[in-house]
Amino acid sequence: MSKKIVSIVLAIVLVVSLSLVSCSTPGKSDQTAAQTTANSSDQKAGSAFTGNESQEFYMVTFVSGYPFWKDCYNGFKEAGALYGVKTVYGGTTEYDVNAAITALDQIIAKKPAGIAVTAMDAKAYAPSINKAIEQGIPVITFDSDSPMSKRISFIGTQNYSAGVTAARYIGEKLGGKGKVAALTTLAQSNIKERTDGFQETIKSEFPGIELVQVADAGTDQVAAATSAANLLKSNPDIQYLFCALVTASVGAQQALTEAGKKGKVKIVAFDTDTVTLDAIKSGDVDASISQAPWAMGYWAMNYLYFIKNGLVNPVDNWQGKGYPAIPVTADSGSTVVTKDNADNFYTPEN
Amino acid sequence: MKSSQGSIKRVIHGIRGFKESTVILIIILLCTGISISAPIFLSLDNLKTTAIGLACDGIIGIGMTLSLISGGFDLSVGSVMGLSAVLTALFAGMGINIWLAAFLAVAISLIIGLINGILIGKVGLNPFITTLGMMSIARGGVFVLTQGTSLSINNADQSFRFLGSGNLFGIPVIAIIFIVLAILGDFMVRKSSPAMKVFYVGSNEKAAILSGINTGKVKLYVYLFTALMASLAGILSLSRFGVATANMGSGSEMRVISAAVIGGAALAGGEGSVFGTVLGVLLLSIINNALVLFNVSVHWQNLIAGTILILAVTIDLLSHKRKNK
Repeated sequence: MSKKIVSIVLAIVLVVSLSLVSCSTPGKSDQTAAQTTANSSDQKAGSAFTGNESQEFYMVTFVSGYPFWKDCYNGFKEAGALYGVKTVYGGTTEYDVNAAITALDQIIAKKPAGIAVTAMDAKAYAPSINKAIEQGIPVITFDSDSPMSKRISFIGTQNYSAGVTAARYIGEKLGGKGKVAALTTLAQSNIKERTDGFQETIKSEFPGIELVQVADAGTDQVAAATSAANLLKSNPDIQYLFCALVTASVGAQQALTEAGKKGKVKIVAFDTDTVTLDAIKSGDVDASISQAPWAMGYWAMNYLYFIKNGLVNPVDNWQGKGYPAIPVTADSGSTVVTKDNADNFYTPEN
Repeated sequence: MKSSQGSIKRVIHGIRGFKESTVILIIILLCTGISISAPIFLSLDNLKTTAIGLACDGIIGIGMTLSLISGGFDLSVGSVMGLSAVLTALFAGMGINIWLAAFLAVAISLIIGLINGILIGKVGLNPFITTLGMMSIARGGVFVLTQGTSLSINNADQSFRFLGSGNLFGIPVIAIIFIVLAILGDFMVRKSSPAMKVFYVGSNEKAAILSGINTGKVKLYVYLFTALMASLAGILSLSRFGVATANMGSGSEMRVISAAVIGGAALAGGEGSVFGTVLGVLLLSIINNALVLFNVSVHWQNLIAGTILILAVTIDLLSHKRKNK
C-alpha cells in the first residue's frame, strides 16, 4: 500500500508543480512599463491608441528556442506595449508539423485578439489559418508565408532575393572566378528559397564560379560542424562558404578552426545574432545577410492592432468586400553586414 | 500483499491494475484543475483540437505497446510514418488512384517492418541499434524523395481527405478511427493467443524458447505490426494536412515510448497494455494543452516534458518492485 501512496504523492506533486510553473513563469504575457508612459502621452492623441488590456495577441512559431524568433518577438512585444495590449509568445519547441499545428489550433481555440504566425509548411498551415480568419481573428504571417491561406498580410524577407544578394556579394569579391560551397537545411521552405536564390544566381551571373556542393547542415550546430568538416575535406580549395542559416554558420566556424582553415575559407552567414556579429568584427565571418526580425514582429503587431480595433476603415466591411486596405506582402528587407557596419546591428537584448 | 479494503476496491484493482489507475487519477486531477483555472479547456474547439493532435501518436502507440511488451522497442516509427505519407503523395502525384497509392505505401512500410523483424527476431540484433538505423534510412528516403520540399495531394480524389479532416456527428473522423483501432488493439493485446506469446517472449525469452515458442517469428510479427500502425498514422496525417512534409513524424518515437511507459509498459518487456498507452498519450497531450492554455513560456515545455517522463518512469519502477515482492 505504501508504494501506491508514494505514487499518488508523486501524481499530486506533478499537478502542483504544473500549476506552480503556470503561475510563476514570467512568460505569461508581457506588458512593460512603457505602457504607462505610452498611455498618458496618447491621451492627447485620442483613445484609438489606448488599447484594451484584455486583448491578447499571439506570436506563434516552431522550434521556439531559435534565437531569430526572440528578435521577432521583441519587436512584437514593443509594438504591443505601445498600445497597452497583452502579447504572448507561443508555439512549440519541436520541428514537427503536427506539434506546430496543434499548438496553433489550441491558441486559436482561445479566441485571441490576433495572431502572427510563421508557417513551417505553407499548405499544411492553411486550414488552421483560414479557421481563425473565419472566426474573425486577424492573422498575419511573418518570415515564412502561407500564400494560399486567407491570411491578411505577409511580412518577411524575400528569401530568394536574400540568396541572390549573397551570391552577388561573393561573386564580386571573387572577381567572378573561384570555387564555393553552401550549407543549408532541409524541409524548411524559406531556407530552401535562399539556397535556390544563391545557386541560381551563381549559375546564371557568375559562370566562372563553381558551386562544388550544397550540404545539409542538420538541425543544430554540432551536426553543422560535422557537415562543414566533411565538405572541407572533400573540397579543400573552396574560397567561400555560404551558410543559409545561423546554426550552419556557427558550426562552419568551428569546423574551419578545427581544420586550420580559419581565414583561408571565408564564410557568408545569415542573420545578425551576437555570435555572428562578433565573428564579423573578429574576421572569422566575412559577411552576413541580415534579415529584419524585429521589424517583422513590430509591424505584424501594428497591423494586427489596427485591424482588430477597426482602425482600418476605407469602406464598411472592407474585409468582406475584398477592398484592398493593407499591403498583401511586405518585404522586410535584407542587407549585407560587414566589418564596416556590424556595430549598427547589435541590439540591447542580444 | 493483502487488500483488506473491501470488495469494491478489489474489483477495481483486478480490472484496472495498479499502474493504469494511477494514470487515470492523474488525468482526472489534471483535467479538473485545468478546467477550473482555464475553463476554455472544456470548449469544443479545444477538445477537438487536442483529440486530433493526439490521434496519430496514439495509433503509433498501439503498435509500440506490442514492441515494448516483446522486450524491445521501435525507434523507426516516426520515419516510417513520414515515409508512408510521402510515398502516398508521390504515387498519387504520378497519377495513381490515391487509395491504391495508400495501399502501396502501407505495403512498402510493411517491408521496413519485415526487415526490422528479421534483423531483431531472426538474426538477433539489438532492437535499439536496428530501429535507430532504420529510422535514419527511412527518414533519408523521405528527404531523397521530397528533395526537402513538401508534396501536396491537390490533384487527388478529395474524398481521401475525409479520413483526416472530416467530421462525423461533430466528432473528428481521425479521432474515431484512432478510438476504434485502440479498442481493437487493446482487445487483441489482452485476449488473443498470439499476443500472449509476445508477453511470454518479453518476460522471459529463454523460458519462452524452452516452452516451444518460436521467438524469432513472434518478434517478426511484432515489428511488422508496429510498422503497420506507423504507416496508418502517416496516411491519416497526409489526409489531415493534404500535404506530406519531409519532417512529418519526427520526434514521435520518443513521445510514444514515454506515453507507453507512463501507461504501464515496462522497458524490460513483458508488461503493457494499449489502454495504458492511450492514457499516456492522453496525459502528455493534456499537459501540452495546459502549457498553451496557461501561456507557459515555450522555453519551459521541454523541461516539463522531461520531468514528467522521469516521474512516470519512477512510478513504473516502484510498481515493479511491488510486483517482485
